[in-house]
Amino acid sequence: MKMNKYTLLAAAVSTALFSGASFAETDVALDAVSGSDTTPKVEKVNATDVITDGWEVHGYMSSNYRLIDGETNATTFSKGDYHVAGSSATSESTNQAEFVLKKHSEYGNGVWANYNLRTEYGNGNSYAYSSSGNQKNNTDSQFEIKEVFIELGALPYLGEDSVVWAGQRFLNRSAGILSGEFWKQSSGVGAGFETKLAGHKAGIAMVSADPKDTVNDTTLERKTRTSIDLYYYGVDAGIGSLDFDAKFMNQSKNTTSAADEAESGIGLSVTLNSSYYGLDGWAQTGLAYGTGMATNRGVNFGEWNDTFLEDDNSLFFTTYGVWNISDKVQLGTEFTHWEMMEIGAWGLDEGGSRTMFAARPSYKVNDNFRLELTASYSVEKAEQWHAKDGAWALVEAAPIFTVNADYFGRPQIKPYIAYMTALEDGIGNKGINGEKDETVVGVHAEIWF
Amino acid sequence: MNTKKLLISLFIGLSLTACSSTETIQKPIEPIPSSEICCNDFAQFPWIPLETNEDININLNTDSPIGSFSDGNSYFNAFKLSERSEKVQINLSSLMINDSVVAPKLITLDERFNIISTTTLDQFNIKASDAFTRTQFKLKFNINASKTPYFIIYSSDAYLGQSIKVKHPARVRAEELGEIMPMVTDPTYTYERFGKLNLSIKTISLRAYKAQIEKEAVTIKKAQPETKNFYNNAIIEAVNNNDIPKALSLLEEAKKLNIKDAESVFIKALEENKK
Repeated sequence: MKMNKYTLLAAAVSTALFSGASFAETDVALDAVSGSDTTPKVEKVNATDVITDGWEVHGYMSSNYRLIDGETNATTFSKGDYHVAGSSATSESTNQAEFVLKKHSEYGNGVWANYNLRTEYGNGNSYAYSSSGNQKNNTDSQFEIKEVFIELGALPYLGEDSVVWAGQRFLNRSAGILSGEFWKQSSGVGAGFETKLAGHKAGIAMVSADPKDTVNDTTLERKTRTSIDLYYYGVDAGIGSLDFDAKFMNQSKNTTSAADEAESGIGLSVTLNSSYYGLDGWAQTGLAYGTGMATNRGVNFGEWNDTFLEDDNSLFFTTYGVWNISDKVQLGTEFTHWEMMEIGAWGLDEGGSRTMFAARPSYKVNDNFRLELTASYSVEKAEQWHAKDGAWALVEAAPIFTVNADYFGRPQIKPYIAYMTALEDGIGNKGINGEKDETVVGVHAEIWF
Repeated sequence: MNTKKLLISLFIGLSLTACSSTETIQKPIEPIPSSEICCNDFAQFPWIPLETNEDININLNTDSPIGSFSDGNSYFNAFKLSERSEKVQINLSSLMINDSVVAPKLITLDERFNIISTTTLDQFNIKASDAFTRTQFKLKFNINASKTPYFIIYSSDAYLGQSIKVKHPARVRAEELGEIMPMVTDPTYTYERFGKLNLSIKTISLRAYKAQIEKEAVTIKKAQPETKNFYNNAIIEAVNNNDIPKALSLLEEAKKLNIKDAESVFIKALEENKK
């Protein structure tokens, strides 16, 4: 572009306005786009002019019609404890609906803003309702705001790659694909800042959450839990990229707290994102250590687990991924080991461990039909809980009916049958009436859009 | 519930569906014969005039004109930006429907129909579907309508038959919300000639022009000496012949030709004629 007196003037004015900002030169508010020096055509684009603007609506529905011995049931067969894989047969929510509302705006000076709202109904509800309106009789798992936060990006004085955010969210989550368990997240209300350092995403955030027991109970003092997160993501490691997380947590005690309840904790983790162990596909491998408040897999911060003791600590390892064997065949696997080195809060001051291996082959018959098999094997060593080791196995078979529609979201319906059993009778039996094993059938419908 | 019955019906259903497996047969791509081309050069293309701000759906189908491009003959739609627009933001989307999509190519032209720029497919982003929009190729760019007033959208032969795999919405959701990664099969779309596109035009700045009012220059033309002599003599002769109306009209003509002494010649002739 030809520089003329108008451009220079505009540059001078905007530089004065943004004095002290190192990115001012990119924010020239006036731009002579054509014309000669004597008759310039000048257009005005205000820094605050909205260039792009729009709402996006996304959603998810999951309806799991599951009857165990003819009844609905709230059990998840201890999948949260890695006894069985997470699957349709081990999910309790009968009907769940989710809406995500997003507004993205971009402005004349490159600044962008996101408004994110995620609402959910029925996650965790195991009852089946009629139209008569029994939903209100269940005060759990009602309509909830899961996330609502604002992000502002590329603010001129913070840099092109910067993001500031504030609100309620679950930050930097990761979950095992077959256990279905989140092992990394910071879920709560907070604020944070993200930018790029040496080409890698670097962030700092502060997130707080109140333990469930203290909510609405005026007889209990609050003990708001807070985590300060530092993270540095995307460091190239040759075979993949590494994400580093560090969390510094603290909380106060209240009248129900044990004398040695932890008031602080440190969690550290490193995550490797790679191909499927050298094959076509993807894998995520995580190693985490946590002490005190951060004993729950080190980097799993939220309102939960507010009673860990000062000396509690644990080491967690997980690796999972999907191998694309061919166009039609995929294999998902997960290996997870949680070494509970000392968790006095759970009566495990001598330690224990949980290990699970699970696999899910999937065969695509055609665009509208797929077959899926899930199998898991788990071992739990915890002498203070049970003298013998506990072990469990699960197998689930499911045909998946789907449509190859791209609009209004690829609905799928999946009838399933699952069998699970305790391999050591009497330790964590899976039968809902106390028997060793259980067979579960059901139909799981899902839609994503 | 009778588990056995459910099991049996489940496996019967399963085996029935498995039988209905079909393979898609790849159709060979035949080039469009040059005899079907609408026009020999860009100047003759049928241009669709655009407003300053507009949102229109385009169907590339057999009704679309066929043009000859460097990468083969193709169905196209050609557009001319509004003369009131200067800087314009253009959003072009090509919708992924069922199992196909137009892999679009967009060329911009100046006012003399010279090609200024041509897009490549990697300039387009893939935008995942949501409740109101389909998964689509999306290109957003700014253009100066006074420099490049024309653009053409077509489905390039170079892309035909290739395909793209996009993320299943379940994967998009999982990545965005940090949910458990689902095992789903990502949908594939083949690049085809025909499809639906959406074009959105947003004028960021209007085109201005500076009024060029030029004062009419007063030019004084000088009559040639021969012309002068001719008129003067003709006036004298007309007066001498007592043809005053002719003398007057000659005088008028002479005045228009800026022959200043015609009037004095006329008066002098009158006076002499009286003698």
